[in-house]
Amino acid sequence: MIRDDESRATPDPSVAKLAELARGQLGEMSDLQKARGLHGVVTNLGQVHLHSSRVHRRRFWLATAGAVTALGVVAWLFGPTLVANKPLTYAMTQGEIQAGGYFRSGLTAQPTIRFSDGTKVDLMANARGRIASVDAHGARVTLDEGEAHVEVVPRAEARWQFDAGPFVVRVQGTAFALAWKGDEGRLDLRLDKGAVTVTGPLSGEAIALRSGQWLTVRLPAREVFVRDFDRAAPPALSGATTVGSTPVVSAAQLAGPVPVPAPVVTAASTQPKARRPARVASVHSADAEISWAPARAAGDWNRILDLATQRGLARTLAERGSEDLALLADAAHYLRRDDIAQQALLAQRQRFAGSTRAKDAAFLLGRIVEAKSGGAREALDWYERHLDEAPSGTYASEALGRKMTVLARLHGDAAARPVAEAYLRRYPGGTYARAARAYTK
Amino acid sequence: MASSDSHSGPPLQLVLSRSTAAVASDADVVRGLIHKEEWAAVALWSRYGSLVFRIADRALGSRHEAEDLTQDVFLCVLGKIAGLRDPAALRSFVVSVTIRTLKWKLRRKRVRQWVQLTSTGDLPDQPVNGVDVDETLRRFYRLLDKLRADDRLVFVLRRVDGMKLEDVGRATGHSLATVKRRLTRADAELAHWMEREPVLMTFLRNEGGTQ
Repeated sequence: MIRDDESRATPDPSVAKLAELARGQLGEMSDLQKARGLHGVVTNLGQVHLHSSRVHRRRFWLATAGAVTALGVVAWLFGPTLVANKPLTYAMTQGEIQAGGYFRSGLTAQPTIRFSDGTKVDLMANARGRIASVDAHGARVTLDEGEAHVEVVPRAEARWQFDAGPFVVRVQGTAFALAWKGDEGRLDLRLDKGAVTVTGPLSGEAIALRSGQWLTVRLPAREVFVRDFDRAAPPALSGATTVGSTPVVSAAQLAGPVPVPAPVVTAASTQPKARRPARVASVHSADAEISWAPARAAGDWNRILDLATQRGLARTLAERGSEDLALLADAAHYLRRDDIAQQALLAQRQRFAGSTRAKDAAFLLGRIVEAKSGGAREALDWYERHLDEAPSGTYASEALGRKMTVLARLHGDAAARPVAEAYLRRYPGGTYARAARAYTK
Repeated sequence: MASSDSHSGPPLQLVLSRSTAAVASDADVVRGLIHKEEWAAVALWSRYGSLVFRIADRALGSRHEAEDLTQDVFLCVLGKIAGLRDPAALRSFVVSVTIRTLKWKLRRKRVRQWVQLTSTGDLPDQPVNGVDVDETLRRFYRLLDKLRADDRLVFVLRRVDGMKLEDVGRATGHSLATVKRRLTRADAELAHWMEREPVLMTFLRNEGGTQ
């Protein structure tokens, strides 16, 4: 217990007990969180630097060095004694690793390379590459051709590197699918879990990816794409590797019906190729993250709204990630711009269909339209959608309560009675319980 | 199947001088950050990462939100480090940025309540199921959500984090009297609301047992 000798006030014993419970249960970072945090800070240092001086923007190596340092210092911080430990061991199922670390999969056999820390690399058909080096913290694996699915076991000191053509993927604990087609000069990386950084030609600096993002680089067309995908149903990399000059991933494979903005793709594809800088069509590129993060950190609602509208609201709604759309909706509502809040929520539902935020957006949209004159019917529709999609969600009780209230307003108390009964069954002590009891009498 | 022992390569090289980050003073770290030296970022994180996360986690009651907020704090610190007048006051600076960022976050949570609040101003209830520690904490933090952002911060820093009242005042920028007033108000409001939280009371009576 904390002694409260500075204050005469003593908390209620129940409050004090809960505070103590919180103190015991909360506040400890996991090793993985420490590693992610360190990586983020080192990466941000590079980005702050890039923003402060355009000259250094060209210094590609800086961001790369930051990422390398981050991976290196993770081991320094969390496992210095392990440096001298024995290197990991590994073995391959359904195949054999040749001298020099070379491996190859067949047309039908899909072997797996298993490392002694639990990390595994599943090789898809006709994949080939090499285990270039191994130490106590990880390995460097080169994918010369084909596709591999990788699951790196999270460890604070883990350092893994995967080379695919001219690209380098640096990893801590994560799961991803990686494909390299040498003849097309095409890289695909679908990040299912964790975080990675990718360096190589075109990007100009290290590309930081987080889970739920898909990176595609096409060297001949000088195109770089980063976009979100539906983690509930991750698309297969192989399905995206046969397209021509059209957008590299079909809309059907993306989480929502809004594809990467066509103009960006088209412009990059039609311009002369000589010495043309690569264009990055990104849902969450590092650059885009930087531009909103300071405003978010500073609590500057106006700045967020300005940033969203300056670059074009339509583009913002089409490109920003799910968290930013939620942020924009909050900022817009706070600034009494419910028209924008509504659009942000609709984009959330369209682009991130099936996600928790998209389900919540249905309820939030209901609240917005309910406040408008004549919006009760539409609000009712949104509440019902939310209840269908997230019957146990954050806003379920509120949606049921609002549905009951709106029904009574539109069609009378009798219409609200079944909903009131359902409400009382689920939330007998809920905040709408008194009203619900009134409808059931 | 091939054993790997024969394929082991040389260990990868570390790229950081361990001693540099370990022995540097806070003022050295600040100078290093201004010059964008990676070792300084590492030192900053290793000294204050856990502190920021702990405050954030206990204030928000969500590991994920705390992790995101921790990154926001460090981004802000990196961006403003050049303006720090007293490089030796790095810890205070980091804590003050943490508190400011938390205030913003908590105010945003309160803005979110525009959709959650009922006409009576109460928060909606959840189905009454079995109660464990996680559920208890979740309900406790829902009560904290109802507090004013400043009151909540004072409460968390004092009651949960165990800071001295003077330190709470310094961190939040309030006078000692204001801190005491906010703390008293937060205590009283929480105690009042808890009387209407039978699930929490049951948990406390059972000392953590399942209802």
